Amino acid sequence: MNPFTPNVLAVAAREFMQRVRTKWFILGTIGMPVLMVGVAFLIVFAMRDVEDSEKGKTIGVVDSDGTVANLLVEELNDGSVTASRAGDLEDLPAAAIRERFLSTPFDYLLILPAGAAASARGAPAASREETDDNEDRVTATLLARDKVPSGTRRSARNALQRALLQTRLQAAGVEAVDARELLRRPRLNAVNVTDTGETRSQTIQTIASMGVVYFYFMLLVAYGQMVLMSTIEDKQSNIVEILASSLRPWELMLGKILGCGAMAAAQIGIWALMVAATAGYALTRGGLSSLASVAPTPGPLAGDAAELGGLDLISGSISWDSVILAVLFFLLGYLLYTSVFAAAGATVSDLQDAQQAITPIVFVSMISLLAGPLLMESPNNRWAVILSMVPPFNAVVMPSRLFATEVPLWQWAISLVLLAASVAATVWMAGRIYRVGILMRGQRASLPEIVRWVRHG
Amino acid sequence: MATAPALRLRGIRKNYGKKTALDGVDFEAPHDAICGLIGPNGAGKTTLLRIILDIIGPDAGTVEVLGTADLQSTRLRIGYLPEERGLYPKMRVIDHLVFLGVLKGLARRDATTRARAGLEEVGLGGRARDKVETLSKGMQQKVQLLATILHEPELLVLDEPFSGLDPINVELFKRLVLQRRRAGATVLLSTHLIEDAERLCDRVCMIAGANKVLDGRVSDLKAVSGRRDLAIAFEGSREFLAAPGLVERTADQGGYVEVRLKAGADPQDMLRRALESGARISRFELTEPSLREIFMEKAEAAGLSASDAPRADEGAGG
Repeated sequence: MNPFTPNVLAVAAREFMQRVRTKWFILGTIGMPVLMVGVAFLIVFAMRDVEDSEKGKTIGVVDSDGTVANLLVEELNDGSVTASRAGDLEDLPAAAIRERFLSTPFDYLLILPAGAAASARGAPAASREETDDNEDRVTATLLARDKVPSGTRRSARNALQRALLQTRLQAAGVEAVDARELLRRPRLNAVNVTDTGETRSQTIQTIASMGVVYFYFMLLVAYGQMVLMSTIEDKQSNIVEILASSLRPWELMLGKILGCGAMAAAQIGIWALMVAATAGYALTRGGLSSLASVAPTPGPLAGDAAELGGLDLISGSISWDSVILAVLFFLLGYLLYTSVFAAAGATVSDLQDAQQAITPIVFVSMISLLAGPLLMESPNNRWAVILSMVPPFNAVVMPSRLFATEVPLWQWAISLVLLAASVAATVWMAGRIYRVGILMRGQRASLPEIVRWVRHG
Repeated sequence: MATAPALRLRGIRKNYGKKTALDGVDFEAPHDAICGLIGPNGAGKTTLLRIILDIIGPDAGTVEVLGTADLQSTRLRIGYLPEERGLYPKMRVIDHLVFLGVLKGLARRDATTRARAGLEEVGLGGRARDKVETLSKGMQQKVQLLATILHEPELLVLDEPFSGLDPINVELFKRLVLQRRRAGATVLLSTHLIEDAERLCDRVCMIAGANKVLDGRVSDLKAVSGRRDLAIAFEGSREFLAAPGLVERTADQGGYVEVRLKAGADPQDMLRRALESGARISRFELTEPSLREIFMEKAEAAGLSASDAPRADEGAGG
């Protein structure tokens, strides 16, 4: 049976034209990415504003031993704050310092514990390699008049770390070290080496696979809801009875799914062009690193891109095979999700009921979203493998794994077959629900009722 | 007539869960006729229409439409105006008509031409490119009717076509429906208003309580019912009305007296009696029974309660 009957095409064409013609389509397509980038920049600028406002704030150092204070002041002054010793407070007990703090001219007060610089604290250095969880860490106190921005807190802590290091090294007889240089964390690039000897950046893979999870989930649910709304619209505007006398309900359903799909394709196509244009500009003009430099900390992508050379890196880390497979999974996933949403739309007559009807659907599909962190951590974990095989999750999880790792052929093949089979079953069932449901008015259909529709048509 | 009837339904049965909507209904409609489907709300009229339109299937029984049982093929030859009317509010009028025309098998270009001509005819030529939602309710009704007849259907199925219409549109609807009928189309018109059916229909079929209670040509129904209702206006003594062998009952209507003769009684005898009594007769008329009266009789005979009777009140919005 040919699914593309003239009626299906007429419905799809109407759906597409009506949607593309609205100003919401233009706003949603052009506006959304612009808005997202805009919000990102707004946050970045707001954060910079916070940093700026910290500039010139004063910080007093209270060190009862007096061993670290001078170095600490020096280190702190390297940052954006102005530091000096609060000598008159040094002999007071902690409670008294706290009482006096508000009457001092300082914005912050950094209080070191007694014996902070004692070098022979606790276990030998070798076993204290990861001392972050250790009980006997040096615990300093930072008094503040207001919420301490994390940047200020971090730079104070780093300054303290450097000062302590230098103090101890000097005590051990090592002179004139650059603690800043010494404490700089090395970068570690994880690169996959495949059977064929290609190398792939794991950073790129992680970004791609996470992006796929969120993007697929968002789009499937959004376009699913669009089909659902369209179904309810037909019921609410009372047109459905005329349509039912002219075409088969499955033709109406399929037409809607295709029409919304065409709109989705147009939308995604425009987004892809926008991304490609931006990325192309950024990479060819070296703009990416300048973009990244706007952010408080340069992103890992910028670092990798700088090292491995832009586009080559991305194309080298993601194979065309996985892109094609990912598109295929998306198309099947689109059919699966939209037909479920269409059926849900047919069982209700108004938006409130619709909200209730889609809640379980969205909830179940969220499971694939929650798998995101798991995929990032270990894409070949057995749970990740299971989720990438079982519909409806596999529509989202398998493409994500394809980008994250080498998926064996048997896995994606089985996943694809299962997905295709579930699409066929779901479309068939949705068609039967649709047939009865669209003519129903008023109350929402109960589950036993829906089961009866499916069984008896 | 030698050709097959436009509609032939046999033993149609339809249940919704435990509720019986139609309980073995036979129904036939010849070509070229306006057939009324009457009965109270909830009697099963819409269910019957939906079965004819192949929107739903019957649980039992056979349906032949326009000479074939292949209802899929007849869909394009039917024009349907449902009781619950609606159009896509955001669509342009012309696009909407073309869309519905294409679904009815018209080529896009053909549909466009016809839609423009139709809009011109009902006085909406200038609104073709406006959105449906900007039209008044009356204008939307016109667009709706145009959509129903755009593909020149051989069978028009109209469910409560006059409900909610303003008087001007009622006339327009009647004109366009009669125009289709002159072109050879059969019209099936469902209504709960008996008076509408009586005015417009050649035949009526009455459904009440999931069963057919009356079916036939309006004139036949009236003839079968017998011409034994008289309207008599006179001056003088009303003594002559007291004729137990002749008169079943009388009802004083102010200006005249309604007289129902006994079955088999000759109106001539009544006239003779009146003249002999010396009364001055200013009116002596054999009146036709209204469909309503016939229905009431049938309903009583079938033991239907009064609440099953169609109402004549303006529950038209219904």
